[in-house]
Amino acid sequence: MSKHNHFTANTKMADIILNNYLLLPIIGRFGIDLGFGNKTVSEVCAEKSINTFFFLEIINSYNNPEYFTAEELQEYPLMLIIEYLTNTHNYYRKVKIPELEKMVYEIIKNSNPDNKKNNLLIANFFEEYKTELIKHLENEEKTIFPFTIELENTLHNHESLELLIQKIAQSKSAHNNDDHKQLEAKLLDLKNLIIKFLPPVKRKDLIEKLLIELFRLEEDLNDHSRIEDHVLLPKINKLELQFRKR
Amino acid sequence: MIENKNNITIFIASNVYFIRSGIRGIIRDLGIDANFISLNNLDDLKNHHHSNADYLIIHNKLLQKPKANHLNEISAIFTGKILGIGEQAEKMNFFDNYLTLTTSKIAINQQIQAFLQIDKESKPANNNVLSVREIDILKEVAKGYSNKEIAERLFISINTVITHRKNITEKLGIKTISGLTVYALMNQLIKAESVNN
Repeated sequence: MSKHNHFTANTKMADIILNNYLLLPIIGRFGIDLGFGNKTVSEVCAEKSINTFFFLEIINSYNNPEYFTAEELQEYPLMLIIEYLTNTHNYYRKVKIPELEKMVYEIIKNSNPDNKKNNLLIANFFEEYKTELIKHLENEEKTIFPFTIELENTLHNHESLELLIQKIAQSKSAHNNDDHKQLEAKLLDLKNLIIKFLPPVKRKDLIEKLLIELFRLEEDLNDHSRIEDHVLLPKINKLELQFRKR
Repeated sequence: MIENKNNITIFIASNVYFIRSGIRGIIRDLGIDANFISLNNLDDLKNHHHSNADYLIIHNKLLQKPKANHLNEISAIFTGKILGIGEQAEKMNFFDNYLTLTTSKIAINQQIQAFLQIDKESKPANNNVLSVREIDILKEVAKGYSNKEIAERLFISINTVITHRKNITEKLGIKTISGLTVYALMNQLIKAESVNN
């Protein structure tokens, strides 16, 4: 399949990965394991009770940012979107960050006395970025995610909860775009410091690996932020409006 | 179109479009910014201003026999460097620089670079180096001072501080304060003890 086409329910799951291996962790985030033989997307999704069309929207929007249709994604139940976002958070916390930490540790371990100081500076900067990223993920999980689900339930239960609306307004302004922008700036700085200014190190291979992983993390985070900013937040706004109208 | 002063001017004299356009393509691929002037015949050269800083590429078919004499006449009016090109090697080569159409890509690139005297050293100066004043500002930022504090400490306006900071970020590609601090420490602009948290 050409890169500019999109994946459909009849696409073989294996072909998605053969086409773009960067989608591997995203498929994993849906709880899909490898070894699906020649099964199609719809077959695998049916087995795992995954909403096929939601899966396709996510995969296609990641594969080709131009495909991204925020409005269509907004049609899906909030639970589904938040579940996906939470899985993504877990992937960052349990897989990606430990992986990067290990690489940074290896770089420090393999430093010469000359470049140990510089490598430690990079390690500290990474540590600072990591702490901010984790804090950001936790904030979302503690505030905006549960509040939004509560709002949706409340709407269905025909209860009025002015207080909830207030809580959401607060967490929404706490989670503004600036938070994402700040995290993006830090990651970009980390990459630039390594690419442009870190003096030569003993183990070039380790630095290269770290950089490649940072690029991948950046791409993944960009996609994640797009879903939060262009799907989740507008959806919350819509719910709020519905709530105020009643 | 604004003419770039640093651009060189290259006259290409050939009545074959294929050759004129091919030469332009080769020179552009070498990353050379040049103004090209196409000439269908060598008489047209009189209608253009040229200087000894210009270049002339002549398709040898345009030379009238005896070719050596014609080339001498051209050299008398065109004071810049001249390169000849032709379908095959000339039996008696009177051009100082000469290329045949069957020359390999690598050899053509080398000869054209040599002809145009593209000196690797003469690339534009790296303007991404921080100025002394920018380094002063960077040190203050890295030490944790705010724009207002920096303005007071260095006796300049806040706006000046902001402009310097914008330029620093553009030059280094580093935006965050902690990123700038790492840069300053890495380059020994400040000591670790002087960083306020």
